[in-house]
Amino acid sequence: MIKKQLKVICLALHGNINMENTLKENAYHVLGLDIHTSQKDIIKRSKEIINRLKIDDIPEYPLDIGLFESFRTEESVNEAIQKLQAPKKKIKEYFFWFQISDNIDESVLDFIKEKSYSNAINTWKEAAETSNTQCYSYKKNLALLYCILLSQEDNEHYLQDSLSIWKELIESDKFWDIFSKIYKFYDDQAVSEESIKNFKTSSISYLSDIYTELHSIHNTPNYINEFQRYFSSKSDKMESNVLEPIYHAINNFTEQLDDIIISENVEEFIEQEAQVNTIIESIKDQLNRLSRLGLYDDSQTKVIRDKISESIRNIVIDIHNNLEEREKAMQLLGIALEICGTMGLREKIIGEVEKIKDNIDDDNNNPFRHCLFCNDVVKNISSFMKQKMHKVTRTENSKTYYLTKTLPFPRCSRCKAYHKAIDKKFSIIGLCIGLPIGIFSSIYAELAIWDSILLGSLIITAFITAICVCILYSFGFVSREHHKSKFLPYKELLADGWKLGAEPSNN
Amino acid sequence: MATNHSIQIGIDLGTTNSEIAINNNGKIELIKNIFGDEYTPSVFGIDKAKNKIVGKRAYERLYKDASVNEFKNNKAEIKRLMGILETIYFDRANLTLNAEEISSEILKSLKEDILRKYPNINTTAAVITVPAYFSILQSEATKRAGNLAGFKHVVLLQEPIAAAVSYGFMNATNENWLIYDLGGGTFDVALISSRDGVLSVLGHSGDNFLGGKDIDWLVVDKIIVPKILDQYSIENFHRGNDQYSSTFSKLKYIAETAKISLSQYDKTSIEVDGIGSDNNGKEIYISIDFTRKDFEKLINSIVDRTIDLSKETLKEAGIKNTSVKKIILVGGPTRIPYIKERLEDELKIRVDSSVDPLTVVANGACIFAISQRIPEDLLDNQNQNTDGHNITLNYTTLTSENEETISGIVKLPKELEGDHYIQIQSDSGLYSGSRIKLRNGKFFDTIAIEPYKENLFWLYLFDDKGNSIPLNADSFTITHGLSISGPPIPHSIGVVVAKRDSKNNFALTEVFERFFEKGSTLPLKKTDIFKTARRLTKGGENPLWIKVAEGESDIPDRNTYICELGIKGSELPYDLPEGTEIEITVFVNESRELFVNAYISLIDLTLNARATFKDEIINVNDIEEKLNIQIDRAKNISEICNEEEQNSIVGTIQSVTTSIKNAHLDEDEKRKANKQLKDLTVSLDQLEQDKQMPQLIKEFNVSIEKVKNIIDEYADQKENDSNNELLQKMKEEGEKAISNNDKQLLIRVNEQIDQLKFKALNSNPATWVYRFDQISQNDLKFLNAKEAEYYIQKGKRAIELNDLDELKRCYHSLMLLLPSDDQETIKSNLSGITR
Repeated sequence: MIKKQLKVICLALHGNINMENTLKENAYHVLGLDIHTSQKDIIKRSKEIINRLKIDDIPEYPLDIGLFESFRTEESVNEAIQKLQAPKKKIKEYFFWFQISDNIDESVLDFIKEKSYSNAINTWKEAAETSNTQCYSYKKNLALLYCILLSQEDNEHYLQDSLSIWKELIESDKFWDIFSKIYKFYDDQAVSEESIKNFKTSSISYLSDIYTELHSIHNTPNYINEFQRYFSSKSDKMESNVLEPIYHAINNFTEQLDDIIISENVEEFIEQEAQVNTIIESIKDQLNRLSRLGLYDDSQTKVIRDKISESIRNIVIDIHNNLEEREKAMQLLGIALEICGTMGLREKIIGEVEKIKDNIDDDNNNPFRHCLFCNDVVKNISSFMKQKMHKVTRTENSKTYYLTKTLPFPRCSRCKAYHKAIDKKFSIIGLCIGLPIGIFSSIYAELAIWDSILLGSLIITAFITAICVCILYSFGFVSREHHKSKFLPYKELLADGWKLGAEPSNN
Repeated sequence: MATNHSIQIGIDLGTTNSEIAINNNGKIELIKNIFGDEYTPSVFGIDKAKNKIVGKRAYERLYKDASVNEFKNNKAEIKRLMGILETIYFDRANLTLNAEEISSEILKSLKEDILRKYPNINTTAAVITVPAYFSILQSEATKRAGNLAGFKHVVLLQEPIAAAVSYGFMNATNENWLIYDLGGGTFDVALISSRDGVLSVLGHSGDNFLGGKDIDWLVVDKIIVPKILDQYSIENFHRGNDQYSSTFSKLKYIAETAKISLSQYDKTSIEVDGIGSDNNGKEIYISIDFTRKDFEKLINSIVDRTIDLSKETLKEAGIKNTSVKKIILVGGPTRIPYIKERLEDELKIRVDSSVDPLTVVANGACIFAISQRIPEDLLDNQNQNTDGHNITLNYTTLTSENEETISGIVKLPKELEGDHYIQIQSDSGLYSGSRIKLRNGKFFDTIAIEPYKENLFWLYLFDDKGNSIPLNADSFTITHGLSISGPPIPHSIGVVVAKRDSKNNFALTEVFERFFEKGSTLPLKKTDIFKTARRLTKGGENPLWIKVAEGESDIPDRNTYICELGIKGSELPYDLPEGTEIEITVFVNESRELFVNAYISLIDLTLNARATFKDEIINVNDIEEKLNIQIDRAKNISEICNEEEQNSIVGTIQSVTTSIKNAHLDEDEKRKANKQLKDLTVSLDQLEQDKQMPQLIKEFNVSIEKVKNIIDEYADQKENDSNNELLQKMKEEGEKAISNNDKQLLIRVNEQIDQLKFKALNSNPATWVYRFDQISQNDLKFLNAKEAEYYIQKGKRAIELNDLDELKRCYHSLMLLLPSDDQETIKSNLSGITR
């Protein structure tokens, strides 16, 4: 029992409060070392930093770029050591840090330290234009510099340039060939070719992490959107930090839609309609966010979009079937069609749109669908008027055989309400006229005994009231009968020998 | 006065044997026990005089004498039971002990062996080795055993590292080695790199239920027992039968002897005698000719497993096989020549067994011990100048460098005015540093180290007039040699988190979120912030659990729980709303001791999760039940697996089944079965995940074909074209998903194809006639028989009149008249007809 309880109650939802910064936390950056440093010097440096940090002395080194603060802590140094000692992890650290291999790189490093970023960019840009193998190193350095600068300022040019360089490098076999050769040349851990190939495969995902981090720093959709435009790929970090919160919001709204059970009561439905519209607007806001991020057509988003469409469809079905509000159903189905993500569902909804259109056409052509009195479409059969009819088939041995049926006359709920109100009104008028006339008549008839006066008054009042009501009611009735007589099925029945009433009068 | 702050003792606490080594003035000495052996059997028992006995005496009682009484009062191979709460009862002394208490008795015996020879040796601290693959709970239990044995400070060291230190200390060159450690009860494999005098572990793997013991039982179960049963009639003669437990103990001894013999000779004779009579009263005696070839064939699966794990380690580390210079053999069973041959054959790496595989670990543990400082508070006060000023130093005790950095803080009283200076000098005179001015009492220096020596340094504190000021610790030692960059953790460590995500269709599921990845080097510390999943009311009874576990699966139950902390309503000053931040800090020290703290800033409450201990309660029946579930699962997966994968699944299932058979009696077998079952579950998870895309593609192709046929054959003609068009669109989308390797989209497309199939079927009147017949002709009990009869008749008429809409209405009305169970049955039957 206790075990079962434990399963139900669980810890917590993760907060995603601390987003890493891949470049700031790069192991070589933390240790202030060149990417070709040997394991021996890496360990030596880490011990030195930790010993100095223990006396609150934060060391600075010549390769520090001076762009980040508080990056050299005991924790970050320990992490750095973890990364550089694991052959597979080390490749990533190596890839995502500057390769300082000649005077050009050194001069750029000085520019960066002096915060003369445009000089730094231009120098590497010019150097990268050469056609020798070194140009790849300059390009990678430049792309890294752009990314680091982007973590400090939101800059559209840096964003575009960085992505364009990364794309060029990642898609270049020559770049990877050179990278692999240089890495293996300096590597003192004898990393396998397979590990480098695996890194190459994952490199886009690592880049995706960097741009996700930049997105979280600046909170603008550009970073994700542009990254998608260049690479059409998303990493786990992008999914969990950017997409999942949006999906969660959408799911909450979709669940709210699912919880709505469309009422057959018109007033309640009006309220529900407003609620549905509000929810759909909220969903659309979230979908717009996805669209701005360039992830509207991502497969996971498509599945989520389908889910939304299905929820809207369920509401449409209720509105269509229970309330026969075809126009509203069409309108909502249009939204579902707009949102749906997969072709299968799209086609299905299109089919349903056609079906509803057909139904609307049918309604238009069906005499039973239009109110006899106002010609509006009748949405609820409960408001129909009914007329019992019979038709004598034969008479044998003085016994009459006949058929019966109840003919419905289409009447909309509005007209039904109107008729009801008119009938009530006539009753009151009848009473108002009948009552004084009745009292006056009884007094006039000099019925002296008090009891008799009362009784007589009542009888006469009732009688005259009934006459008045009947007269007034007959105006309405006549009017309704007039409409009924125009109803084609009614006319056909009458022509076919059907008569009013549930049974023949002589029976 | 110079102080020797380092640990002097290294212990290999093995499953079968244990060894102890000491630092005898810089020379490592393995201490012999009273029998003159360098290794002591890890067996504990109670003799007839109710005295505790350890080692050879207990071993002989358990295996050679092996009477029922001795079997009940002597216990071996306790190492595999470390970290669990279950206890063992010794009836002679009416004593109940758990695994760590028994281990402490073995350690005490080893300690006595040293004190017998060196009564003045400092036994305050010791380094004890543990398998690299030991869990946190097992490691912690070993540490507690050391404390119980009287070692106030215990440092744990992973056995492969100890072995590497033992080799590496003598041959420190730039190489990678594979340490293959097949012990009495556990198997470890580690890829170690020695570079410029720094030893680091690049990768490791292992199995805590694989060792010499398992080989012995194989010989018993597959060779000896079948032969006995061949010639004698004994009912229920198996290890799981309590009646024969002492007999099997004897048989195991015989098997072990045969195993050792076959490591030297091509052939041996197994002679079973003196184990009693069969059911007919016939004395049991058998003699089996057992060749090395037979033996090799028998242990092939065990060797295969160790080789697979070795290959996996190399692959995971991401380095080339050719870069591994040698394989170092550790542990008694590695004396089996077949293991050496197979390793060389399969891995194409030279095997080195130049150091005695039985003592190499203790030797390495002792070398490592010298580099470990005993905490100041445990040192004798006579070594410290209590009048001196307090100094705290930060330095590495073991280094491969020729120079080392050192930092320190001197706590000077406020009344001491003026500048102060520190000076460091080596005892040998090689290094004499300049006077460094203290800044806020702090200093930093780089000192020169003499190679391959213990370097003693003196510290001097001066005031600005050059007067010497006393320090509480005036010296320190740095040993030059192979330094260790930090042992890695064998399993990822993390917490269980409740999550909703789109991949799980937003259902609240528990996932294992890693704090530290497998292979991260110790020590490790990390803090992360989480949020409470629900509201917790003050005084409420339903606690909020924080569960810490270790393992590699994302599914928490597949991993091993270490501890769990319940935040109770009674501890709260007021209600905690949902989403309250909890800061969780996990710290693992070099000895793999785990500390977990939870801090709730909102109420300023700190909780210590390590006050708890999560022991997995294992029930054999539960294991059997779970195994059956996994067997069913395996059947499904097998259909899409290749032959090798299928064989692997079958092999693991057989192995768990065998362990379960013996698990009723043997706690170790129970744990082994549980562990194997978890491994099987995880491997099936992995297979399912790996095969998901191929399976989805297969489903997609089959469905497209099937649905096309259904549309053509069954669907209403007027809907035929539109259905085919829709199917074509789905096909295009599915193909796109396949080419993009898009699992999510393909799942969705498959769902839609399935829906289309039903749509096509439903459009055919014959489907409805069939359904109507199913419901009307099967003697079902309707809730209202009269009404049902009305609809049945009406439906029949509708069939005659070809009125499909009316038929559908009748069918639905009849369905509503059925009890819900029957409705489900009908629905499930319906799905069957489409296949």
